[in-house]
Amino acid sequence: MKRGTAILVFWAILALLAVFFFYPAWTIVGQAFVVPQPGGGTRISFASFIEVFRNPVYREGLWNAFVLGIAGMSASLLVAFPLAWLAHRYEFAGKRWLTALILVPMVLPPFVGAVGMKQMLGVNGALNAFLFKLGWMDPAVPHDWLAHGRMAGIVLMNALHLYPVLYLNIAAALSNLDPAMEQAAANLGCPPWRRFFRVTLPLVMPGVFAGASVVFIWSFTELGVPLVFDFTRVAPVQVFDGIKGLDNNPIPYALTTVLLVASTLVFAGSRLVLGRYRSRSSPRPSGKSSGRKLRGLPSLACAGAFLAVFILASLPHAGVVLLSLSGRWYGTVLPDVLTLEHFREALGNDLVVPSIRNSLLYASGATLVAVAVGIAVARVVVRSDLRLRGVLDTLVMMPLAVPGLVMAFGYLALTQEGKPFHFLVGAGGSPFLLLVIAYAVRRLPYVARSAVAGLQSSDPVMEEAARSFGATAWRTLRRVTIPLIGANLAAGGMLAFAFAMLEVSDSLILAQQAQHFPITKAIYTLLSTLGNGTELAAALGVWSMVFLAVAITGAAAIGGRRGGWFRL
Amino acid sequence: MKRGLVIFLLLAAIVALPLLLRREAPGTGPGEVDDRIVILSPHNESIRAEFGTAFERWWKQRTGRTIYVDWRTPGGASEIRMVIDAGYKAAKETGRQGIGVDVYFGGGEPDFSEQARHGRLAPLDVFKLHPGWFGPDEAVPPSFTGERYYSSDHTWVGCCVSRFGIAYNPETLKRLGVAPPVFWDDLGNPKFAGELALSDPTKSGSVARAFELLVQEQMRRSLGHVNPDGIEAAKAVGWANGLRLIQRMSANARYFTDSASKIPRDISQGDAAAGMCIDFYGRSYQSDALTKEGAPRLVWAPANYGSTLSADPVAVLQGAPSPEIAQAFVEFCLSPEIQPLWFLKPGTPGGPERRALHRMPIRRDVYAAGIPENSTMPGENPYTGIGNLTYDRELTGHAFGTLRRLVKVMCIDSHEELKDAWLAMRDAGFPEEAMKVFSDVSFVGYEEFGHGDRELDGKDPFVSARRATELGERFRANYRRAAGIARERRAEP
Repeated sequence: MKRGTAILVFWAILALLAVFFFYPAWTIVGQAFVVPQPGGGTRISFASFIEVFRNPVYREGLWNAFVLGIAGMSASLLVAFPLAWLAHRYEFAGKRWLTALILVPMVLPPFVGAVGMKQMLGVNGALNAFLFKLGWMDPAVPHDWLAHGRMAGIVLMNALHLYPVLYLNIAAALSNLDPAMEQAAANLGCPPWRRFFRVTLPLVMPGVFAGASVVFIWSFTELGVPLVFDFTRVAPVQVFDGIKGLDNNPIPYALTTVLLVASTLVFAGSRLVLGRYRSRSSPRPSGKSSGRKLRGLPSLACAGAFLAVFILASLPHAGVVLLSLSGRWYGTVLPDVLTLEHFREALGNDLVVPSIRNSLLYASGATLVAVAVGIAVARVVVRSDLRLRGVLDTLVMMPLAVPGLVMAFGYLALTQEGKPFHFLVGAGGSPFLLLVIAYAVRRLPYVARSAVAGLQSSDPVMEEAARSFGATAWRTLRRVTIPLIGANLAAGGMLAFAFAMLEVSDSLILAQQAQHFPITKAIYTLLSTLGNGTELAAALGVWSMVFLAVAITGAAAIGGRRGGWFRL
Repeated sequence: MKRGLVIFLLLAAIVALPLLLRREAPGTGPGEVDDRIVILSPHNESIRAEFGTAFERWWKQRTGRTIYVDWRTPGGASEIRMVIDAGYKAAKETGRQGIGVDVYFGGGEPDFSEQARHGRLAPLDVFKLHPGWFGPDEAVPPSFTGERYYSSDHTWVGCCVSRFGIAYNPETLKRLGVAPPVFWDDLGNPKFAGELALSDPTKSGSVARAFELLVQEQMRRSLGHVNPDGIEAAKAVGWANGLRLIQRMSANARYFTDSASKIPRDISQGDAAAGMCIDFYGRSYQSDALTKEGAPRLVWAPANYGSTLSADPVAVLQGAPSPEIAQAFVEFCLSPEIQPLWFLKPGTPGGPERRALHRMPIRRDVYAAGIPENSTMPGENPYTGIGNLTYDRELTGHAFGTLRRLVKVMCIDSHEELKDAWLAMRDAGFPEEAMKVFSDVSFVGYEEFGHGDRELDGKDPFVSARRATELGERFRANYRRAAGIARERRAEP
């Protein structure tokens, strides 16, 4: 990349981040540092920072968050890597659909996902009912799965929810791998394990790093899963509780800053250690996968591993599905009264059709923006020699670490009439532009990481060749670079789209009028219906899950078959 | 190609399903109406739907014009407070009057009093139009059970009344071998360890008031047996007992939540045995969540002598885009023909169309002719009900903010240590020495904290945070010590 262009793109992205991320975040978080003076005016103070570290409860919350981040990432890696590797190396029964199916657990609708989990694992839940039935548990002394071993439970739930992020990135990296490298090592007598550690692993390291960094920050700042386990001594829950408190307490904002700085430092540090891998393998061969065909038991074992992970990870989803169909579900393995009435009522609600259209528009717009900016980021980070490119790479990860509520209220404050972002509110109060930007900023890390990993894994020789034959920079990008990193972009884009469709905080706060509600706000609205609100919300949640599941598995299955730019 | 077509058709079918099932909206769309009103509300969807439809009809009858009710629902009380704060802050900076919202509908009296203090609520015309509705002997009294039903400056007025009570799951109680709780004290029973669902007083003024009442109840008991010389000492004893009761309840708690529906849901599912629950959610679950045999999975009752009847207000915001319509909405909410909407069965004359709202109208005259048979709560007249507590502002009113913060540092922030000590003491048979340490609240006594602590509840948030850290550490040290003593006693031969 030409230095001049790189500098221009660098500053343009920095400006975008400054305006649409740092400014709204500071509008809210700044309360921790800007102290009003008794006689009017303000002064800058770091007292709230000191208070965070003085209070042992906050210190413990930060430590627990860090432990959950590391453990969640490691556990996700333990699930995702073997699966991605099996899928890369072998052809086994049902591979095409199984490799697509295991992506589905990342689609868990908000609000009702927690209820679904409780229906399965609660004291009176399906699992205990099953164990009572088998006579393996005394109904007089039921086990409280959500109250005991909460840290381990949170790690497990995080891993089972987040492994698709890692799987997608590792699968994309493996798909870029030139089998000739491994074959050469094998021909030279390198045993399989040594080959794995000396050849395969270093080559896919950019993909591992891309997924692991997202999963670490996600687990480190995760709010929903600890809340399901009623575990409050963890920094993100402390921030959430503090922000919603009546006290106008500045500490949660200081704690948010600490989370942000800690995430950044961990990311920058690990980037220095792990992210320097640039495999720059030769352009990957097109055509069919190099996987070895398995038959009989080994083939079934591989399929079984995929199926087992899918079933385990889909436990909360199964809870939501059964809930949406239940006329009564109380203390039994399955609902003892089944009904489709909740679907009829929920999907017939006049909020739903516009909310589907809105969500598709908002999420697609945000994904397009995130992919465009993500490619630009990746080009500067990987294909330029700017000294500050590492800073840019780190900065784009920061939106992952800021609580959604902070960003949402930042945008809300700045879009009031007469405020700088008011132009983002369209005619009739439409939040289209606002939500596209808000969603895109928070989803940029997925795409940027995937794109960076893609470029790191591909040799620039193809692009250089295109340019030397007279192709313009735009044509090279369109015809060479994007196809080269297509699998990575598809992985990042898929994550960005799915998580934008299920976004909560911005959707609740910024989509104010009913005709602009996205699906998540429609789910939230149905949830508050007296009587069967939870079941109605579950029904719409199931609709979103099915839609996203079909879209994702369909895209993965079609892409995988074509073996071209979308090889997963 | 074939696979792609299948997936495309599948996606098309999924998207078509809601299109096929779509019902005609009960109201009119925003684009095709004469008038519009914007209402900010934490009320649930059922209340919004019923009141929205009823107001559209009422407005049409009154003016012959159509209206669209634009409900704004950013979340619960705390999100609404943040939205209003952000809006008025920006309005002040840009020289505007309002925030584009007409009416604030639903929440607790403390939330509305707070907004009134900031000068964000406009005086209500209904007091001039219908002066006969308001007064000590009129349909809407200025106060009842010590709770205000409208503000003295007439900027807000209650529409319905509600109270906190105790919800429990009869089957779970049976499993635990506990009698149904009747008083708040009953929730301090250690058999409830890990089984209680409590509301979070730090996020809602109404819940904070419920905790305040819990302390007041203990103070009343203490004051009931003293001569005039011992009043202050009795208050201090009652205050300490109240804090200790909150400690015990919190030690039993699974969680503190700001979601009003989470508690009855968990109780009705048997995931919690009992909890603190607002009346209308309690009644709704009691009527709808049934066992296979048709018995309620959740039973709700007001805590005996432990709760007041507080108002759920409505107000017009300053700078409302349509002030006349906003004022008319308040009049609509309080009118005698609309009030029964709160408590009649769906489909009955004057009742809601689709769902019972299970709430008590504020107008006294609605109950005067006897509770109608088609009410969802036959026989229950809040104005004659016994067992109510009367809120006494003089007792703890100045400590409202302090008490809320105390519960946070003593129980919510310290929940892990609190639960651990409680379980250790339970297993050791509650040794006296450990109990003494565990329930030491002498350093947050009534004399110092009962009238509000200037540091903890002061204006400087940093001083308040420091004070909270210090107090929290002291409580946690006590809990750790109590747990240590209990374990030592248990280990003794």
